[in-house]
Amino acid sequence: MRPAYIFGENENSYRFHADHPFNPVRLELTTSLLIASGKLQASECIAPPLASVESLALVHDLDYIEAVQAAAAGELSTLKANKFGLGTEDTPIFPTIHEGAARLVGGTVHALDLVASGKLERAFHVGGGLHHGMRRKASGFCVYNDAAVAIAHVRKAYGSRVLYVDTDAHHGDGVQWLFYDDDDVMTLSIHETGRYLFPGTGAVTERGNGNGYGYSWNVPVDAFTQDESFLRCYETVFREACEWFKPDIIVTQNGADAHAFDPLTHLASTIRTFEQIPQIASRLADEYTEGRLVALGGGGYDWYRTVPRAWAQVWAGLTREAPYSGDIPPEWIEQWQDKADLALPTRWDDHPYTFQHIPRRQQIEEKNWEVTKRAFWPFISHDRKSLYV
Amino acid sequence: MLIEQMMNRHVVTIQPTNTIAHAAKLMRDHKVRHLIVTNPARQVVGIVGQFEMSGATSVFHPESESADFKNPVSSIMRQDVTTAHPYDFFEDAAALFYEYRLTCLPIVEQGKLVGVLTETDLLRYFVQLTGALEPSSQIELLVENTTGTLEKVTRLLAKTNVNIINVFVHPTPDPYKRIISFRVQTMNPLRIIERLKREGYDVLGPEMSQ
Repeated sequence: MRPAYIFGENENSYRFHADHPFNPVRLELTTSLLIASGKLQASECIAPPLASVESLALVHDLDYIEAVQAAAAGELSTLKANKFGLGTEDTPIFPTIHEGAARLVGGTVHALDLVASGKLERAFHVGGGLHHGMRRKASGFCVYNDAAVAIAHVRKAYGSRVLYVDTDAHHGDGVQWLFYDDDDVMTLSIHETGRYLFPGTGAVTERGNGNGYGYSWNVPVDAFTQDESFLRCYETVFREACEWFKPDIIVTQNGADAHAFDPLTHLASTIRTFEQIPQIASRLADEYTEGRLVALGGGGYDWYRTVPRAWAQVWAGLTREAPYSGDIPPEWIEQWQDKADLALPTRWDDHPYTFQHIPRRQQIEEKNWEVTKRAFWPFISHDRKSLYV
Repeated sequence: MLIEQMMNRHVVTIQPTNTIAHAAKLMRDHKVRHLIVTNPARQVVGIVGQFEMSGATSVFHPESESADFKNPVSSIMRQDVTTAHPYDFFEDAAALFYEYRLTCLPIVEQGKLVGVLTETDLLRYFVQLTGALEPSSQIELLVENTTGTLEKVTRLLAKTNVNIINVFVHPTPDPYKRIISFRVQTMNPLRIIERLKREGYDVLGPEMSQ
């Protein structure tokens, strides 16, 4: 069964302004790269429906949704806007702010519904993954939290237990806090430590609250973490989360900002990390959820060089193909080179000599591995503990 | 900040005549590490913590344990209780904790128990002070320890239209230098960092080598 690919030009309506780092051009770049590579037919793209206010209200407060609608109409006072995190440099107000944000939610709700209802095994909503959206506050480029709304929807409609795995370089705080007390939704976030980086949360000690204790896991990795260490921590903690939680569905957030080229973060991955993340997710879904897997996009601010390749590799994972390799189709480069300010990549992989040597590499790897073990240690069986001695 | 604004008003109390067994049950049920012992007029007459509880029975005489548990709380409670007033400053309460190595501070007004402050409450407030619980990026500057530096930097930040959630000024080994650490409400601090650097500020970030 072929996965659903959810993307439509109507998602361009979630666009703050030309200089804003979060830009829908990333979705077009990815989709056109997959089409040019013969991995996707244009006719396969499913345009996302608009999420209703009722479904947004599954996780957001009504007065917040009304404030976003008022902001779109230009009728929100500055004072009120501030209260809801709107009109800031990160989430400025624009005329289609409500419709655009609700469209992204609609895409993710549709993706999860297709899988939870059993119609399809897998789906990719490249425009989703706005993981900083809070119950009543816009934050970190995110207005509504598409993953959280969609998870709440399938909880309600099908009772599915969802494991949410977030590999964006920023902590997946919005999704974590919205399900912090819930033992039927587990969140796992692997991200750069909050020492300097937004949002500052995501410590290994954030483990959930009340009934939800043990169902929020965090692995904050050090600045300048490279492929090998990132992938080792990710695969290990992801597997332990599956063992502990026994999910019905896995949802992955595939932020592509852990790459060394990303301007906003300090991690040092190459494209190899982004080839392997979806492959590992696909294998674990086959092992633990009978294949059920929904992938979302997320952050990623090196629009032209990194994001399209990283997100195209998500499709390779979902369709159980090996990571795409070799040359990038020249017609794709031709299509986009004029718009990019840097030379577009000509190959799927990165040239290793592009990257700086990291002098503290060994300490970083050791520290990351220790923190990874601390994330799952209280929740694994005695037998599994012996795997790590 | 006044203690009144941060104290816990729901206090788990016990009477001096209640049994130690009852005290153990209360601590377990309410998941607390201390019980404030009050008389019927709600005056604080003692405090029982885990330390006092562990001294209530003897490991050398396990056979008498059930008898020991029937003793009154008054037989083990600490009677010299340090208390504070709801209008005391948070800083003063913190100093009391530090000076007397307290773990729990009953709050008393007009002779009656009105609340309690624990180590955990204090720590939570400190964490809130750091701004670490609100989504933000951290920007740190190494600056000269002179008058007006903070004013210059915050003026610059105001021009970038970013909300400052918190400011800390840290000492450094060099008495003529300080590190100012800002938590700012933005996911994209790049434009701010670039501007600060253009103005000649020494912006600290993750170090590739140490």
